[in-house]
Amino acid sequence: MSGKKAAKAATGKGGSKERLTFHLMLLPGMIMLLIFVFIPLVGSLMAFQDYIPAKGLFGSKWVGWENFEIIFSFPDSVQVFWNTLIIAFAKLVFNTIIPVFFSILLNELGGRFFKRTFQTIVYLPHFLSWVVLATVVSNMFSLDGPINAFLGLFGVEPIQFLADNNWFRTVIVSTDVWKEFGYNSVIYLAALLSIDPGLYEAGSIDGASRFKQIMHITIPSLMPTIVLMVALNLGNILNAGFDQIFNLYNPIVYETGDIIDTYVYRIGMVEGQYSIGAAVGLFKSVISFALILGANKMAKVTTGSGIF
Amino acid sequence: MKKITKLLAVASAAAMLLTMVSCSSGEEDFTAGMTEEEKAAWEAAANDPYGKYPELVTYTTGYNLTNQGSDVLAGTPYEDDTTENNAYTRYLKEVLNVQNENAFEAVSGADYDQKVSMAIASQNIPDIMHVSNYETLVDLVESDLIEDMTEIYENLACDTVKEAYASYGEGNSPLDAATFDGKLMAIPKTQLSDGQDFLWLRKDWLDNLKLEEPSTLEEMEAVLKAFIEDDPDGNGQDDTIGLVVHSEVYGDYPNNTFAIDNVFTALGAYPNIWITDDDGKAVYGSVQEEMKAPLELLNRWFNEGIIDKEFATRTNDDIVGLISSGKCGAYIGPWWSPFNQAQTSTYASDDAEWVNVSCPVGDDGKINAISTKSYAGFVVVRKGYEHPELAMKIVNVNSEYSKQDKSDAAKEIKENQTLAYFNWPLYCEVQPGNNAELMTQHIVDVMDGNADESTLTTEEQSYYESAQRFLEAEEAGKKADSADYSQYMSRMVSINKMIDEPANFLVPSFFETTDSMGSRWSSLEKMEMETVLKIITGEKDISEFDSFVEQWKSAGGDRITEEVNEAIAE
Repeated sequence: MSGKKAAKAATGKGGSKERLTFHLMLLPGMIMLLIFVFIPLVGSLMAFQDYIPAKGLFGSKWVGWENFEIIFSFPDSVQVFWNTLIIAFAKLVFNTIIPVFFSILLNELGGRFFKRTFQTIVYLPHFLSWVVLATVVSNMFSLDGPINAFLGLFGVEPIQFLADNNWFRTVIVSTDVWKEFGYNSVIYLAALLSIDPGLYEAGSIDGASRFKQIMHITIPSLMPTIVLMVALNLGNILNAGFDQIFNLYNPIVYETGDIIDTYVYRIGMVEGQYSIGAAVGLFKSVISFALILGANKMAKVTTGSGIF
Repeated sequence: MKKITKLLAVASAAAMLLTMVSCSSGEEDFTAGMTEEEKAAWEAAANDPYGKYPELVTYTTGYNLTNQGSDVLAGTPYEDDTTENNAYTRYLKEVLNVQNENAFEAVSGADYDQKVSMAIASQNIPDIMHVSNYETLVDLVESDLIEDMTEIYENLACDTVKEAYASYGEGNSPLDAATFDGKLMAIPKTQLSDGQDFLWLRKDWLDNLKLEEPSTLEEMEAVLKAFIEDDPDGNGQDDTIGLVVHSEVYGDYPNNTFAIDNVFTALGAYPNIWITDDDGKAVYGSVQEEMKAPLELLNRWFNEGIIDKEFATRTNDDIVGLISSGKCGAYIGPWWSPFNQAQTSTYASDDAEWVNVSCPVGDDGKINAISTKSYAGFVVVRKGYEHPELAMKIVNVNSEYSKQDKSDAAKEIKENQTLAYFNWPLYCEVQPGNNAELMTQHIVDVMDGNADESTLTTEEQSYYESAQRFLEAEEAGKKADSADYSQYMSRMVSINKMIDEPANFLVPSFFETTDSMGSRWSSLEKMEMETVLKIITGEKDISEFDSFVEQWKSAGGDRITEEVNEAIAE
């Protein structure tokens, strides 16, 4: 009897009293969500207005799709959209492959102490803000910085990495991967621990080398986790990393480095064009939403489990 | 950040709905029921620039708090002062018999502007208030919320105020900005002229290399070359760079220290402002043919290392670092550059001597400079307020009366000037455009023994004392305090050069924004910055400039140019 009751409570079908407790625990989170997510949603209306702060959201003139028409008439909006997609896609790919690769390598290592220490070290950059790291990165990549000094040993002419459209995206993606791969590999390390050791045993008895074991046991076992992580991250594909790019870019590399978020910042905050800024933001949200739905569908088809 | 904006929008919208309910009261005749004598007394007060009202008049206002912090008065006799009872409000009460009642208080800047916006949105503005930008004034005029000040200004403005406005010259008068359909709708606060930018050079480096002070572009190039190649700091190492350049290259003249507008203007190009072309039409300076020559020159300078090769990726701090560490001894900046850490740190640690040079000059041997906007805000009066002249009288007292007043009443505000200078309940002072120069002249007169120290105003007095301390320290062979160094170098050395070597000033034909500018300008500016930087760094050829101009025009530049011309015609 009591076993049944516990099961009921766990599935949320307990008595109303128990449910009340759970709901109360949920309440602060819901209130936060309401204040910081749902109420501000009303502000999206600005995208369809000629918004003037003095007149407010209800006094400003409605202009229909005009703001969107203005955005798509800008010569640079297509460029900004592509930049965002390219940078975000590259980040998604490398931020998946490298952590998986790294966690497999780390897993193959013997010695608990060494493993732990190494993991902690690569973990560290994740906790530094881009505002701080941007200074480090721009010094590393400056004309007389260590990277150019190193390349100079091989007779390479100094390159202005952060002011060169051929290099800017590479620097952005690689420094982002450098900062995040340690942190991103945590979840894969956890997934690796859950692989049944019996599989490896069977593999080695059958004569599979370490490499074969990785290819045929480790990677297939990691696959559901990888797909789930990619699906989760797809919703962020239009977030190419505002704080990183904002702190590293300059007008010369707008061509390859200007992304939707930096663009919205300049239009909306710097120039005070709230309506245009809101329209770009809304456009981005709609696309992200579609991508999440698509990714979830994809995850369900390929692995049989989705997020919702 | 975006979410916060949205939240604010909702909050302000809600506040607006609430305040909408309480509507402003209409006009009342306050003289009703008065005897003829009383009426005459009020009349007389209203028609005298400094007339004291027979009875206390209270007015509501928006109070500009300073961001000096609330504790600036702590420990002084004034620590219990409030925004409705401080040295300045007491003085105004004493002189005019008026008292402010604050409808709202906010820190100057975005906070204050937001309160003003809300007051306008709710159609309920204070009797008298200061608005900081032109768009807000236009808004007020269009919503018919403010009083016509034309007659009041004519009858009541004191001579000092009228002369101060006139000092900005025809075509750049602050009054023009506040005039709509021939009616003066506000009393503009003046913006002092910031003068011209100078080329600041390490005098000790010039002396080491036995170089003359440069003047033309060619001479400038020769000096910069020597600064790079001839080891000006004499440390035997090839570790110096040429001219540092602001990452935005030009704009916001002359406030962007390290921006190199002067190189463009020396060759007749006026980027980033609206200028008048030969046909009398307003055109945008950055898209004119004249831009090509300076861009080509800068491209060559970039290739030869005469300007900093990494300028595009340098932050302001990076540039200050280059100068402070003695790697660079040349930059372009305004007269107050000695306050920049770049100079103070080299003075304190490095025995650096700086000198400001009129360079590069145009064909006539003078620097080609750009005038700044002549106004910095407006005082407006609520339509229907029974004492509209009060605003003008307070401005008179701010700008003139208080400065001449030697009575005990004025003692308090003199003491407060150094403590909480901006505590005037209505923050508006009307000063001549060249006020900085005038002050320097007064101090020089005293220093030369041509005038007595007592002729100085409080502000001048503090600069004078600073200069004295600096000279004493130098004479004793010691380093002066860096604050005194900055004051002396800016107020005495640099402004004196401004007086001795005047520049040509071009008044931009348009300062404000138009409708299409709002939505398209940032995109056009981005295009401009990209092109300029790519041409200078050699990523694109100078021929790219023509296609940029084409693109600029079709992407909205032409339409904005039309709008600007229409706006000027109005």
